[in-house]
Amino acid sequence: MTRPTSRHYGALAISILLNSATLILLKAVALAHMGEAQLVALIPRLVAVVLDPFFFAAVAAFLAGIYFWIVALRRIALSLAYPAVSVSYILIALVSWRLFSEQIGVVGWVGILLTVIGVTLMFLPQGKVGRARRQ
Amino acid sequence: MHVGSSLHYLALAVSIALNGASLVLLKAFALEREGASEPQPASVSILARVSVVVHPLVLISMACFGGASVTWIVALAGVPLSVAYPSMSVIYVVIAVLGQTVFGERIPPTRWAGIGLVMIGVVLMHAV
Repeated sequence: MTRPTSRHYGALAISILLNSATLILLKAVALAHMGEAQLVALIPRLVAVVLDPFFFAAVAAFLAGIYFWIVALRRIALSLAYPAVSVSYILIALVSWRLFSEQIGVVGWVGILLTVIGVTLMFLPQGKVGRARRQ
Repeated sequence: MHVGSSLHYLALAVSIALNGASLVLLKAFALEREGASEPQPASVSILARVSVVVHPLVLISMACFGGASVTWIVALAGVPLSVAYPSMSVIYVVIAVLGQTVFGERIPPTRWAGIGLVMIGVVLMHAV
């Protein structure tokens, strides 16, 4: 595989954003329609979900995310790209904190910090001259 | 199935396996596209770009992803979240190993360290 360009890293970033958007939109839809965890009136609520414009937006974001993910995977190693998607969990946690008033807690913040450090470590250019040429 | 039965844990394992399969298939498709063609210029229509993606590898990958989602929900019916999410994080190691063995990717020590930290971080973020 030849080296990835900024185009591929950009596509990876976009796919991560779209992945976050998909899950956030789905959460909004679930909160709007599936508040109580019961089987009562499930069919009408599922219909309401499918007709919800936010659900349509979630599906669109998901499909667009797949497209950019594939562009990224053309050059970026899977073992590098996939862990990067964990950044979307951070974005979702932060948005849920602001938008849905969800608490993060100390453990959650430590988790976010460790994930940020982990992803940063993974994308650091490798020190030695020989290694810097490889992904 | 009673709570926590072996079938729920089987569903969890199947979910992880299908998730891994889905990712490997997409990577295989992406590599095939990279080998077969140059990146398309910006003038190519969205419809033309999207139609390229309607390919057996992608469709099977999406089916695997759907299967992974369904079995995940089945697993969650019997497996506590505090067990399910840490178990799910094992997929980061699975993907790294698959990347090496199937696609010949090189994983330097710092990347392994990063993956380890991400695994712990993701588990902590989902800790209830």
